[in-house]
Formats: sequence, C-alpha cells, structure tokens
Amino acid sequence: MKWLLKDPSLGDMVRVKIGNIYHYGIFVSEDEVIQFGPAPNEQLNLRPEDIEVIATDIDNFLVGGFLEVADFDKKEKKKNRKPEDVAKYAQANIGRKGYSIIYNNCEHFANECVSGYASSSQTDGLRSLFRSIPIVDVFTARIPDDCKIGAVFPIERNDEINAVTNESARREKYCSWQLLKYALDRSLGLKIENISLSKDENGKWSTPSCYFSISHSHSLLAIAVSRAPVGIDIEALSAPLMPGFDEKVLTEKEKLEYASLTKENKDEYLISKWTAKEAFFKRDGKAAFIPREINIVDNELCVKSIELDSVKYFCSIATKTPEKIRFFEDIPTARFLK
Amino acid sequence: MAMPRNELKEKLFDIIQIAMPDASFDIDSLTEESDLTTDIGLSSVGVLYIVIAIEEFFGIRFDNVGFNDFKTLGDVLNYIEEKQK
Repeated sequence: MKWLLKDPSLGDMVRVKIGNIYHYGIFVSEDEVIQFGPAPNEQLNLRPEDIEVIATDIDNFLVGGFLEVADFDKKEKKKNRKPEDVAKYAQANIGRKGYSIIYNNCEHFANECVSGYASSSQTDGLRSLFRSIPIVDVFTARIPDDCKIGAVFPIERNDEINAVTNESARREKYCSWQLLKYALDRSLGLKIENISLSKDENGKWSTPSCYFSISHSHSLLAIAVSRAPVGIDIEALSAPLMPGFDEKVLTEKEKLEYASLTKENKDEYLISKWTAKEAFFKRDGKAAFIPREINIVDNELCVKSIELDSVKYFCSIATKTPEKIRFFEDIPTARFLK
Repeated sequence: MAMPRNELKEKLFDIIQIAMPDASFDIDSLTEESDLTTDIGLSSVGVLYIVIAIEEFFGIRFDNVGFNDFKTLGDVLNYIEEKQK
C-alpha cells in the first residue's frame, strides 16, 4: 500500500499528519469523513471512554493539513471490502466506543473498515523500534559472606545449586542466579519464572528471550544482559600470575607487546587480555577455549577496572555495541536477594 | 509481588533513558512532577512511544488510555502501580 496526495473517493481510507502523528478516517463525501475520535490534538480534554466513532466534514478532519489517500495494490484490493461496503461499515459503526491509544485507535478502525482487520502501523512501528534498541546492561554485586540459600527457578538450576557441596561455591551460584533474575527484570522486563531456560551439553544456561553472561571473581559478581550476544568476564588482580601464563594466553603479536612492558604492567596486561578473551569466548559460544588463538576485536570490547575492598578487578564485556553498555555497580544485596 | 514505588520510578527513568538516548533534559533532574511535554519534551508520538516502552518493560497493557491521561511522570507511576494490584 502507498499513500498518495490525490482527491478521495467513496470508501477510501484517508489520513492527515498532525504534528508527528497521523490521524486516519474513511472518506464518504466532502461532508462526511468517518473517524474514531477527533484528531489527537483535539482529544486533550476527552477521556478515552468519551471518544467514539464520529462523522465530520473534510475540513474538520484535515484541520489545515494535507489529505493523503491509501492506494492499495491488486492483491490488497482483492482482499479488501468494496468501497461502498467500506463506507457502509464505517457508517454503521458511528457512535462506537472503546477507544485505546495503543489497541483500538483511529488507524485500527480505518483498517478494520477496509480489510476487516484492525491494525496500526504507527503503534506496531513504535513497538518494533523500541524492541530494536540495543540494550547491554552490566550489573555487579558483592557476594555476601553469609546468606540463606532459597529456591530458584527453574528446578533444574535449583537442583544444580543444591548439589554443590562446597558452601562458598553454592552461595556464589545462588547469588549469581538471583542477580541474574534481578538484571533480567530490571533491564528487559523479563520475569525469570516466565521465560524458557535450558542448559546445553557444556552446561551453559541460555534462553531464547535474550542473552546473558555470568562471571565472578573472589567476592564480586558480574552479569551482562542484552538483546544481542554478549560475554562477560571478571578477574581480580590479586597475586602475581604463574610463569608461562603468557605463553598460554597471548597471540604472537600480543607476546611482542607484552615483552616490551615493564614488570609492573605485565600482570595487568595479561589479566586484561585473559578477561577479554574469556568474554569473547562466552559471547561467541565456541566449543573449546584456546585463548592464544583468540584475536580481540577492539571495537567490540569494553574493559572496565573496578576497585573493591583494596582489590583491583578487570571486567571485560564483549558485545557488538560496547557504546551502549550501561553499568549498574554494586547492587545492594537486599535488592537481589529477597 | 508489586514493586515498591521507588523501584518503579528507577525502572521508569531507565526506560526513558533507553527510549530517548539523545534527549536534551538531565535525567537526574526528573521528578514525579516532571511534565511529559514541557519538561521531558515529548510530542504526542513520543508519549505513545514511552507508553509502548513501558508496556514492554513492565509487562502490562495500557488499555483504555488516551493521549491526555498522562501529564506527569507521577501520573504514569500511578497507572503502573494500579496495574500491578
């Protein structure tokens, strides 16, 4: 369907742009344009329950704007009502109420008259636009020294956590899952109880509803949630790294860079590369983690340094949109362990 | 369980930031009394956009609402709170 600036005929779907929103109607004659409610700027003093399908003349419909007429292709015309039936249907609904700006507006009504199906490209378009906004949110929180381990969803994850015999490890897994639950709701409006979660053969949990990645180091948790693939890794720089670490982690090019560094900077370089490669590995979901074969893509990486209780951490996030990352740091325990 | 109002407000401000990344207002200056049109600068399609964004985030449906139902952020919070009951 296209929109044309032309003279309307009986049964045409018409629209006018008022501000940055379109108002729709059905043309019957110059004296009769049938629409669900007046133009948006005329609705300011009306409650939705007061808005009804009305007939006005063309000038009242246009309020100074330019009339556009819907031009359907052959296929659409075949499915649509005949023009005279469109007009009759619209007239028969004069006085109808039940207006809703999102679900039953003037565009829904006009489409319903023409095709029998109520739809609104304006609201659908806005919804699609919102759903396409990249979201990459990173949450960090401390693992408390002591907390009651409650039940989590789904039951398979609950069983997994309860099967961990080491108390500290069990607490870490419980807290990370609860922080994930908080993050999913906070960032994406997703309730963990309402999404489908499953584990792959490598033990990695995922959901078709979004992407997430979990990491922890010492007493710090880090979770990334996103609408696109994401990987996160956090490591504390707390002790000198074991000899030979660089051989296992760095590419040949990185080894050259590493060799040129002072002793003080070598460990920081190694940890930042390690976390970056782990983040990419987690994001890209490869079968085997071979860090010296991973080339970091700088414009898909964000590295953040966090200091907590005199310990320095490196947190790397791998995402196609690092500029969209929002950090929510040090989430209070009471917020996610309810 | 219904979310406390201060958490709802936090989430609502998050949504506004996500939906309007290039906005000229200072998010930290927003309050419940902030007017959607004059303080936040939303046009009619902007109000519609934020309402849809809120639906997506809160998992609620804005039935029977019109363009003039929400004048301030407080009005929006009131509606969301009511929907949660």
